[in-house]
Amino acid sequence: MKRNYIRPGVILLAILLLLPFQVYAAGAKATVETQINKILTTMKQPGFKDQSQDAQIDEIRKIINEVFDYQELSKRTLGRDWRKFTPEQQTEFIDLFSQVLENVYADRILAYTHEQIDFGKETELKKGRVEVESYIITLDNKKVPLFYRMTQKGDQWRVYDVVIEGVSMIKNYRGEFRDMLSKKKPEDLLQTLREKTKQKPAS
Amino acid sequence: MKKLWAATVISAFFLIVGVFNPSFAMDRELGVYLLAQQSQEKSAEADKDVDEDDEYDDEYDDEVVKINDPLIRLNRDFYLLNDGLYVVFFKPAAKVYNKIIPDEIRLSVKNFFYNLRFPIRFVNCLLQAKGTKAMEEFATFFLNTTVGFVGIQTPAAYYESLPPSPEDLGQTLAVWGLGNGFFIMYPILGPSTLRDSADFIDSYFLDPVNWLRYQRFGGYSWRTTVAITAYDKFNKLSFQIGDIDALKEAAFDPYIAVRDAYIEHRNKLIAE
Repeated sequence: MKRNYIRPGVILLAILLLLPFQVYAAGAKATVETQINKILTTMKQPGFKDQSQDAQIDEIRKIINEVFDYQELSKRTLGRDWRKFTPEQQTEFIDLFSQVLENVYADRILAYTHEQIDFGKETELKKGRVEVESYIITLDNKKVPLFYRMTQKGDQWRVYDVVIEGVSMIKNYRGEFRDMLSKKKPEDLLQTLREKTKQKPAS
Repeated sequence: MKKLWAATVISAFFLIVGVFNPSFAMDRELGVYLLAQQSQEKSAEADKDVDEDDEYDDEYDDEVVKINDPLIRLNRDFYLLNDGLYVVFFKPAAKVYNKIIPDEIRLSVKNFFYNLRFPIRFVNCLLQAKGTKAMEEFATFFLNTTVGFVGIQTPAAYYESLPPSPEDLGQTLAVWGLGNGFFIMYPILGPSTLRDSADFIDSYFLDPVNWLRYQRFGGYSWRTTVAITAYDKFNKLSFQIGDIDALKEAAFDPYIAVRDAYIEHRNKLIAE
């Protein structure tokens, strides 16, 4: 801005015009930022590193659960296949799938502890759905884009997808699940999930 | 004679891509997708309760990545082979390597090779008529080569206006309208597609490592260049062990996960 001389009335008008968007926009991004910062402070706490890997993941998992909308996430992952599941199977799917994701995500977050995280802009994808940009600055100064897709539930913003370097998590799982469900029944998919979650604590 | 041979190879390549890709499927799919997007936006205003099922169906369903994979059985075998090699040899070797060689040196090696391959990025920027990007690439190369000491340091990374742009011939062809053709899992080299295999042409002509074969640059044998390239790849791999393991851990069917992720990641690079 080269010209600083703008009449106050115009500024006021501009502020008034921007205000509703600001309030709207703050929600999702603020949610992500608070949550990430919460994770970072948790990890910086004295004694955190002394815990076992499982205990560390457990603590991070609790924070993640506050923002992840696993029901939405599961529905979107299965897409039209969701209807092939009975309500009981759906509940079990959400439960098992969330366990898988928690572990994956918590493990990655732990791996990136020493790296810096920047927040980018927030774009509206559709009504009530936004994408919040964040970037992991790696040690060799590379920016790894990590986008959170969020939806509004009541007055809260919840994450339903994470997009890393352009690769959407739920789209990726959808590819796998659809491939599986084209040959097998929902029950078989659940069985695979059960095995996957069972083997986890042992490792 | 040599030139004639090279020209034949290139035209044969385009011919093959053209044959397997009669109507430039990617563009058509994109068109359909855009149309679907538009109609969705219109219907988004409609009452949610009416079509509750579609609430979770809409955003991605028309976006399901259709991947042409006629060689899936062979590809799966090669994936198993690659994964086996990774588990038995590359991962343990990289772990030892990581212990012995300090991070700074590994990083310097990685940066050096990235900087060295500047011709590939630069030429492909030009082929895609991305003038600004080409200039940025040149500025990055200049800065990193001089101030960054032949590229082992990356002073250009401190400039927001100089983002890295990994352009290659596969992306150029995509910008020109070529579709992926079909997915290929190469033994050892990993995932690619018919179109992205054009990167072999890139490395043949534009990779300075390959220039070592010319008399002017010493006339080294192909073994030397392959060894150097292999070392570069291995050094790169030494940074990715955690990520690879996480991907495998997260996946139910690692082959499908790798394949879809590859295509999606490439689409993102092409769009940039």
